[in-house]
Amino acid sequence: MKTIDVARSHSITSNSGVSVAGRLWALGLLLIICVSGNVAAAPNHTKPQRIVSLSLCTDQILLMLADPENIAAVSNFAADPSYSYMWKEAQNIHFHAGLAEQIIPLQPDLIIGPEFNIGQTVAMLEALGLHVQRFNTPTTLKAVSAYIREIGQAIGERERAQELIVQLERELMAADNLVAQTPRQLAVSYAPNGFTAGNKTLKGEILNRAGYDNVADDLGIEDYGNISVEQLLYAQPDLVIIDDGTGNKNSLAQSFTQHPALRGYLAAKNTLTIPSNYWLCPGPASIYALTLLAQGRQ
Amino acid sequence: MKPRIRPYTLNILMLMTICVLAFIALNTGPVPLVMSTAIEDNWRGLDSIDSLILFDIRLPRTLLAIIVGGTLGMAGAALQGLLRNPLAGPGLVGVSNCAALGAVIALYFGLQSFVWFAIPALGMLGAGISVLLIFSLAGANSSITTLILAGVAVNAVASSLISLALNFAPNPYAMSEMVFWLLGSLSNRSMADVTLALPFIIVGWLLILLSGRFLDALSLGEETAKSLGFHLSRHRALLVIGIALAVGAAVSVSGNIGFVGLVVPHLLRPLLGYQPGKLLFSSALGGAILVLLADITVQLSSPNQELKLGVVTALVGGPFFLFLIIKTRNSLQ
Repeated sequence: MKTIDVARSHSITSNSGVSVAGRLWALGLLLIICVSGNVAAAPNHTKPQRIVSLSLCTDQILLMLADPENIAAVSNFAADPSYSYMWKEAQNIHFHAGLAEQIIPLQPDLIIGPEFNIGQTVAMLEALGLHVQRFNTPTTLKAVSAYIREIGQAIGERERAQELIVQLERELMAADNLVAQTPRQLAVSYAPNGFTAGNKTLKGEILNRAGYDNVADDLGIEDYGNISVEQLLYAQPDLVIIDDGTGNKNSLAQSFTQHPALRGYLAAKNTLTIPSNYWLCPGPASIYALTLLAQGRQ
Repeated sequence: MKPRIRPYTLNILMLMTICVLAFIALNTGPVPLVMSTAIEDNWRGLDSIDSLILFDIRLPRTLLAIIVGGTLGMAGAALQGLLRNPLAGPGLVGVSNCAALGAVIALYFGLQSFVWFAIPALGMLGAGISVLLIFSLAGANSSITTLILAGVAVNAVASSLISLALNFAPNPYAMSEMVFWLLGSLSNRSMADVTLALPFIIVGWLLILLSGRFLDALSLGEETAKSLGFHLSRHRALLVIGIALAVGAAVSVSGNIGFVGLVVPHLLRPLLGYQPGKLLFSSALGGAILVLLADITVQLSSPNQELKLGVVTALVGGPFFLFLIIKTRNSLQ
């Protein structure tokens, strides 16, 4: 029996100072400095000074790359630990709830958001002549680098983006090395409501890369789907990856590990709890999730 | 009208049907299961996967189908007798929705961390309030129109309050679970749900069954019932408490499974004759059969993306309800 419970302990670099947590923006800055290995570039007035990000995924990349003083606002999810990997760094940043009337008074010189699911807000912002740049949310690990590079370019932080990409590639290589020495096993991703991810999803790709066959595959689930307690027990996976949000557990969905039939089974099995904020946005956090999975193989 | 079949015979037949259906339900599920191995493993005290699936997943689900179906059927017959109105039923007059509202408030605002029975308790409170509300709105001797209008009002208020409560609930999953509370489901229920609801439900059943003779007398009119020695308000109160306990506890573990309480007494009345007291127990058996059938259908039709149980009962019950309206309209003209 082995249970690894991962809180938000895994940070971008191994030597970044967690003790500076009190000064939150300073921590964000520090992380970037650690990554880039040199002091942040002197202010460059050609780069956007008042950036607004529309979605959780662009929020997190923005918080990783930009100086806090250049961020005018991020979405209201960015500071919530249940959703955002960068929630600490977002604490002192102004936020919006996706309404055009909250964003316009900020007088942003650049608005970044996702390619899809743009809705009325973007239409209105564009109609008012504001500069909105959209990015394709990655659906594969490979696409993560391009995503970071594009956003880095748009916000004028090309070098930091490149540093982050190099660091993530190192992280991927290290994970591959860890996995190469172990035999393939069977795993399942298990989230509230019995939600599971198939091989066509980024989560499925990460599972495969970590050396696991996916139970969802045997059940014919290619994208996302639901798995019943019965199917989970029957499949007898070697590892159950529990995707757990923080916050209160007062819902039927979140009782997904509390079924009496499952409680005993999970207690005797390998389980790995990875907080949901690693999974929600395809991006650097996805690669950190892979690292956690690969480390769990040892 | 003379009964076409002796209640005793009918009840035995229905009990046998329940046993057969329960056996089918235990064999129905997303994974193949050898029942004999499962029972053998359990007998030997082995915690095998088969035994876990049979005893910890399928058995509680089947038991709940019987218990919840029985409750809804019996409550339907009791409400139709109490309000002396063929269109009464726990779903239609808003009792189920009010029970669901109570359960929603208890679950999503974390009240069960203070008292373990908070969810069924608030469910029962909601059900009780709604029966009193219907009774005061429609009166003891209501016309069909008044009852339906009162039911529509109570239902509308209750379902919008459920939405409101889920909207304000500090939980990301609350909103998406509206479907469960408004349509009902038995998937992923466990023995814990059975033991949580069953004590209250049994007390409710007993209170309703003990009111059988009162309902028989009431069907002859209030004056006659009084002259037969029934204390109207006391007997009514007992019946209301019984319905509230049973429906409130059942809905708090299964959500609002519609139309069962309305349809079942109507199906059985032609067979048993118009005697509300006799109908109570038989309607419970009929309700259990209907919900078991619906739950088996749900599992067979969509093993991976489970339909909600209430969708199936409404697909059967909705057209039946229309038929009922047409029939009552013809008889009124």
